[in-house]
Amino acid sequence: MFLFISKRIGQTVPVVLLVSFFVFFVINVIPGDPTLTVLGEFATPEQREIARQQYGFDRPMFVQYLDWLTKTLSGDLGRSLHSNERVWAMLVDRLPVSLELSALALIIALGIGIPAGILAALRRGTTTDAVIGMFSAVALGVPYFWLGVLLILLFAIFFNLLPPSGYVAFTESPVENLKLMILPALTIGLHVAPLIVRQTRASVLQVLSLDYVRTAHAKGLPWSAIVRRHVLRNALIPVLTLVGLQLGNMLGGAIVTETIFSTPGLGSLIVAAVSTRDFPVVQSGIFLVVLLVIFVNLVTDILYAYVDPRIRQHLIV
Amino acid sequence: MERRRSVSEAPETPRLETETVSSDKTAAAGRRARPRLARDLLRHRQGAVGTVLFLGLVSMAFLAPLLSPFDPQHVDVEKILSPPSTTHWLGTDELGRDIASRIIFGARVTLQVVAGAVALSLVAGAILGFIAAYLGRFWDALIMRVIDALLAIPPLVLALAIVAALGPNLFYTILAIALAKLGMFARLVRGEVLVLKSMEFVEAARAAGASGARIALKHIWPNAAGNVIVFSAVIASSALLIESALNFLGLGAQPPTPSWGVMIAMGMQHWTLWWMSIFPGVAIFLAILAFNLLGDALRDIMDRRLFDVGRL
Repeated sequence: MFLFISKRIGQTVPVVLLVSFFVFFVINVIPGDPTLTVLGEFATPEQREIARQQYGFDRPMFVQYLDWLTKTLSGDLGRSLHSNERVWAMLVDRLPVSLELSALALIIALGIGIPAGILAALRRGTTTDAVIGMFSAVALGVPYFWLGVLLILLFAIFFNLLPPSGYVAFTESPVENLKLMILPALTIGLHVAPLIVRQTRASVLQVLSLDYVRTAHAKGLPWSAIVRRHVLRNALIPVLTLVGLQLGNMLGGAIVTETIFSTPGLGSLIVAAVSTRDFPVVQSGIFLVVLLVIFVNLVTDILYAYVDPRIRQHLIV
Repeated sequence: MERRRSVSEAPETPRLETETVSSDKTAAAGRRARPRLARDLLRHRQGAVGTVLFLGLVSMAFLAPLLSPFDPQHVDVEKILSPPSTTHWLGTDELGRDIASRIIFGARVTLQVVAGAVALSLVAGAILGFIAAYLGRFWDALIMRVIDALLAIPPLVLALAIVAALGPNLFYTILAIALAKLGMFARLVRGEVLVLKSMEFVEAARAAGASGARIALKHIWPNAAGNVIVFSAVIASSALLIESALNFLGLGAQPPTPSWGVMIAMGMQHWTLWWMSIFPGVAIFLAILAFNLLGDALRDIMDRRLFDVGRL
């Protein structure tokens, strides 16, 4: 297991480096003069020259990249061009909000997706299966930001049950916090749930058709025991992988969702920074999101190998 | 590849048999694959709904001036924010413009971006996948690692980074989505080519003295193309989602261009006027549904054909 984990981490390092290069490169190939963002349009050529030297824009791109990377890795993310706040502090401030949102969304997605998927598989070919299938096909087509708008219209405007947007820290008032987080979490959760339904249904069906299930049936085990002990344990492994892959998607979805509900998470920070062209914030924010995605995938893979020894063997051999 | 939803089930056998018989007939009539595909699609329940929705979307985009009751840019100060009525079926927006007409014209922007992004990512991804599979070793490892890194970035986040750097503009939106999606095509094509390249007919072509390029284009590509095209329906649906999300955030098409995402965002400033945000959302929903249904149906049909070939 140790060998597997170290190999898997070894594979991750070049991906992280490449991603850091992408992020740096994409943001820094801005056509035109980078001092325009810092000094505005009305600076003299001399002032621009000074700024260029001060920010290091006059050095070759690769040197700038290495400089940025070493600084980033040592925790120095620079300051926002807009508010002059430390980027590091801004990110640390926002991260817990996004993590709470993703965790709630995940609970909702799994809470709906897994039972519905199992039910559809066990009742294969019945009306229940068809209804679940139809719901997930429809839900898959609903763009999540529109779902957010619909939820606000329904719960906040028409029924006046929940506040439409805003944020209160969990430590301040847990009830208010959940009241404000439930709609954004539902928005993301309902978007991911259909994928989990489909994957769960497909893998339960696949496991149900295996010989050992028939054997368990033949030796007289009741259905509920077969499903609980033999089918679900194996069928839920692919679902785990899907969840790992989807977490990246959920963080992406959180960007738009946070903007709709004015939740002060990483996503709304990045969107606001993109609109004001605040590059240090965009760069570090995006890099942090991607690092989170890579980290989650790494953890998923390790969990996967822990649950299923065959995977471990495969990579080591 | 791993993102393809695995909902493969055994197709129902009785229907399959009748189809095999009729497809034999069509083959005897000397027709080629395309009309057969269209017919299979229309017989498939989801496929038929998907096709109808897709054709609706395309005709909305092409026939927009004929179909829309008003000029989408026509500002009518007296009718600002009026609810759906017999003259304005879906109501009007904050400038008194007809929402139905703006939705119809919005299909143009959306289709342009989706078609551009899918085409660009397909071509670039296919070329990269081909090179990786064909040259192998160093190039394969290099290209695939870069693509792993590219795919590690959530598509919308990548698109945001590009828009942040280049500024909001229709072409950059296309570029951003294409860049986010080309890795999926590259992985798919690489996998297909790796399998096909070791097949006997390729070896035969090589023995007959065909050049590398000829083998790639005449022997391998036609066999890989089917799956790639099915896959592009799946990609189109997620491209559409990213496109409308970027527009919604105000980082894609700029006003006054009619765009569905922008319309929903405008609707959010007038919460009580539900028609402003509901109808453009329905349009996005139906368009995504069209691509999802088409993708599912095409995959079913392809699987069934493989099954047919396997039985013969």
